[in-house]
Amino acid sequence: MKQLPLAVAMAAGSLACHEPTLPPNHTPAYGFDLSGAVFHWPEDRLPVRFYADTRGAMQAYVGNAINLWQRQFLYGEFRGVLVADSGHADVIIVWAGSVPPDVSPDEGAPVRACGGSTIPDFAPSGNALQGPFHVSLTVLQGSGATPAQLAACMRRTVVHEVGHSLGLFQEASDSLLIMNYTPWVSAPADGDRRTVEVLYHTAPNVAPPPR
Amino acid sequence: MVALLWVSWALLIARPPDRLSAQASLNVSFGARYTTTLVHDSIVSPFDIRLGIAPALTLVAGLPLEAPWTADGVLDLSYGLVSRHDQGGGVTAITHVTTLTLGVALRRDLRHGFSAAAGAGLLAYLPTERIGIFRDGGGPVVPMGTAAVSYSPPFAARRGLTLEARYDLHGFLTPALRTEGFVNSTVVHRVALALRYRLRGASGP
Repeated sequence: MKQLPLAVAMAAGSLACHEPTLPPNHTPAYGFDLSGAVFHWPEDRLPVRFYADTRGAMQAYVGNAINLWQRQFLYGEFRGVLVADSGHADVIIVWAGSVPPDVSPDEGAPVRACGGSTIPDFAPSGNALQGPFHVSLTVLQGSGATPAQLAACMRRTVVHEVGHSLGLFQEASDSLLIMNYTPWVSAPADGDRRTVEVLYHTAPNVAPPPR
Repeated sequence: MVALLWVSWALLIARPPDRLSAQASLNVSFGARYTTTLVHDSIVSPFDIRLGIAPALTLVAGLPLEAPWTADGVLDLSYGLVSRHDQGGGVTAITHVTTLTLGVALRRDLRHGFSAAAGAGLLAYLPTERIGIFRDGGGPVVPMGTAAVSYSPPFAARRGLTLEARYDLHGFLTPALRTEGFVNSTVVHRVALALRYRLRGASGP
């Protein structure tokens, strides 16, 4: 029993020999404001409600995008959810024109076979939104892409456009980031994560639309 | 793990009970636990990730050794809300988490109804959902060191009741934090105040 104090001291010492944790790099990879306008969904508007076109594979693409963006946040900054009613959505995502076939995306080299656009509905004052984000996805004619390549393009472009609806209003110049003007990767990368983290810790000057 | 080995060694060198009539005891305690900051980070401004004051349930099986020593096997459960605490005072919930610990300790009865214990064990974080710092799970089971002080005045001892303060420390680092760029674990200290009740076995000091 005389060795007990020594044993306890050694036990405590072995646990306490940790160096302090250093915060990691949070430097954003690209800008996120729109001519000075900074927007992100505030905590009291979470989860953000996404409506996805019920045709084709849009709901699967949007569900994938929500999940991927949620995973970029460590500290409870963002949550999203799919809703069935576009009248009660914060972001509305639909096909513009034809609906591509619902096939498994080609995981090979990316092909530019589609396009997307995200339109925030600014109030005339410019310091608030007055309605939901409208996102549309388009099939590019004459790309020569297979249906699977087109599906892969749609899947990554939906992730890109959902990024805009989170408040990432700028395009990235790095082709390895999902927010590159033409998204070539299938998921947000480290630079996207750092950028959206900083955005959600920056005071916005654009208010969300009324509910 | 080293801590657990040291305490296991201490238990091994302790002499076994002199009499086979030594009676094992079983105690349950319920109380509240405070936990220090799990993560400190700074994105634009500094903030902390903390586990709120949480209920703690502990089951202790005691085996008398040579007086006044007892070997304790300890199972401890705690359940609380993990939140982000911003510098400006804002609090954002992330998720709930259960902490589960299994350990061994040596307890010594002291004078005037006091007893003290020290030991080691293993601790696991079990989040209710995979999100935020727990998006890739609670991380590996980690070693922990623990110490406790108990007090049982005569009137409480007759009823099998004991007041207990329990302290432990461990390292905290989840796979998601490692991916984010955290290299070292945070040393987390926990303090619990609880009321212990003897379910069966020998009365306390």
